[in-house]
Amino acid sequence: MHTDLDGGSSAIPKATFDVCIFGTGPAGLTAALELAKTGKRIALIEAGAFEYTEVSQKLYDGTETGLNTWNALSNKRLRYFGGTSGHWSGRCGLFDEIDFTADTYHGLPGWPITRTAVLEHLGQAVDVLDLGQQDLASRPIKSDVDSDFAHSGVAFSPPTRFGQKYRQAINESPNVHLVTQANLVELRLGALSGSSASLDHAVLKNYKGQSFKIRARRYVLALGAIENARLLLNSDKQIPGGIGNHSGYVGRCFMEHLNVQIGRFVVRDKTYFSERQLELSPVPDLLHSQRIGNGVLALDPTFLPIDYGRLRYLKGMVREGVCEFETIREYARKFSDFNCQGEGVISSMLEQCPNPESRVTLKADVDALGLRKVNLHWAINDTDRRSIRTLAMELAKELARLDAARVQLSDFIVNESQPILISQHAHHMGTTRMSRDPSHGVVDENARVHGVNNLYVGGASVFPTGGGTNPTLTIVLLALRLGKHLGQLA
Amino acid sequence: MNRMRRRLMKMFVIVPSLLALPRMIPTPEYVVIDGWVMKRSDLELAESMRRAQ
Repeated sequence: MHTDLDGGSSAIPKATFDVCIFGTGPAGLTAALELAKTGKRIALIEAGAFEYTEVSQKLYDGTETGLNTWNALSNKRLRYFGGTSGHWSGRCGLFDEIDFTADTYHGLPGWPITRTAVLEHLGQAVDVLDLGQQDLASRPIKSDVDSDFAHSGVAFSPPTRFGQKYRQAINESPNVHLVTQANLVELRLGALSGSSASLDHAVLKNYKGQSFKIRARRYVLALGAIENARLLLNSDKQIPGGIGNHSGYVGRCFMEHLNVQIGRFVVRDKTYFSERQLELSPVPDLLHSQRIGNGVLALDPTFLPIDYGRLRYLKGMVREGVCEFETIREYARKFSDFNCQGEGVISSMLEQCPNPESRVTLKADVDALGLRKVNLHWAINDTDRRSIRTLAMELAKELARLDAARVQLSDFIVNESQPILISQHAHHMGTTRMSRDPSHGVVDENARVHGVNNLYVGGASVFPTGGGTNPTLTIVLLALRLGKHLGQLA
Repeated sequence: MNRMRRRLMKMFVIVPSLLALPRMIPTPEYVVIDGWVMKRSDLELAESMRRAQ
């Protein structure tokens, strides 16, 4: 069943649902479809429509400080059915065993659950993301070579557009009531008893400004890492500071994957570059011994002619000519990403350690629906800087040792007085971190908000650490786990 | 006699020790020059090529 909330108040269901899920991205849709199998009655709430609209997207507006996120709030997320899966790249990877070890390199508690628990429904997650038979396991850099780096385990989704793929299944499910154009603006608690509370209802608004109440026995917030924190912080009429914010961690520890061009390289041994792009990850021994974060370092050498069009022969000749002269070559690199045969740049996707100062906070001004806007302050710390520089140097040394390539590190890697140039990967994580101890997080091992009996959180906001790979597969794995958990509850 | 002993000391102990000193100090396996991370053997190879030219 489907209701468009802009259609009027008579359409909002008055009955109490078993579970109300807010958000239809990979987390929300996966959890809803999993729960629907158990016979639970589900309300699935989407703020946008089935297609992108400016009026919906505009409600993401806020401000950004700290590192440059290139419009993380407005450009990197999508506010309509299917969520941000509408423009994701499809790259998938599994978190490593070391990402779940209790002894963290950054001082805060890591994952309170094991990798085995997270991967319990891997086969199902592979189907959800259309990964087929691709191998997700990491493998040695070369079969007969012992190295501190290994090929990253990676698989590619088509990519699955959740809104397109799962719309029919949602429509046809007798247990799911989809409500679109329904903006969640507030969570309201019932009577408080001691240190625990329960949500009584949620307040929705359509684009005409009309308010509606919706009730369920349990609720799941799956709005993305920034909006999950925003909704909890905005729901502060009954508890100062917002719901679930007893520890002050709501909105804190916002993490991205650090996109750093660590340097350039020249190929020495082509046999290491049999695949077009060499993607390497540090092995656990290196991470343990250096006490640094995980990551992927990608080397993309130029082997094939890269010119095209009717003037490609002329372009190729000019390129070869430029490559002959070092001075001209270096001059060309000042203006473009210029590579000669067998050369390339090293890009990266590196783990950011949880940092309480990297955070989402509320501003004083409100959006069109009366919800306070956010300020995103993305910040790294000295542990991250050390991690980046150590990993870059270790990779350069290892490639030299293996005689696979020689690396020229970027100036900001070698010279510690220079600020590291960092970009992002549009992976928003960590703002409602999972922790067994309520004083170090927002949700428990089952993704239930500490101190609230019937409120759960889905998505990468629960990640206590971000690992060194793309988050979507883990988001889906956790959504399946949450769906099964809620399905088992009476 | 003392002069002879100092001369012998210098000839057989001090000078050989000083000559051996660079070998006794561990040298890093890798060097970084202008951002390039190279094996020490890269430098030795480059030096021998320079001499050959």
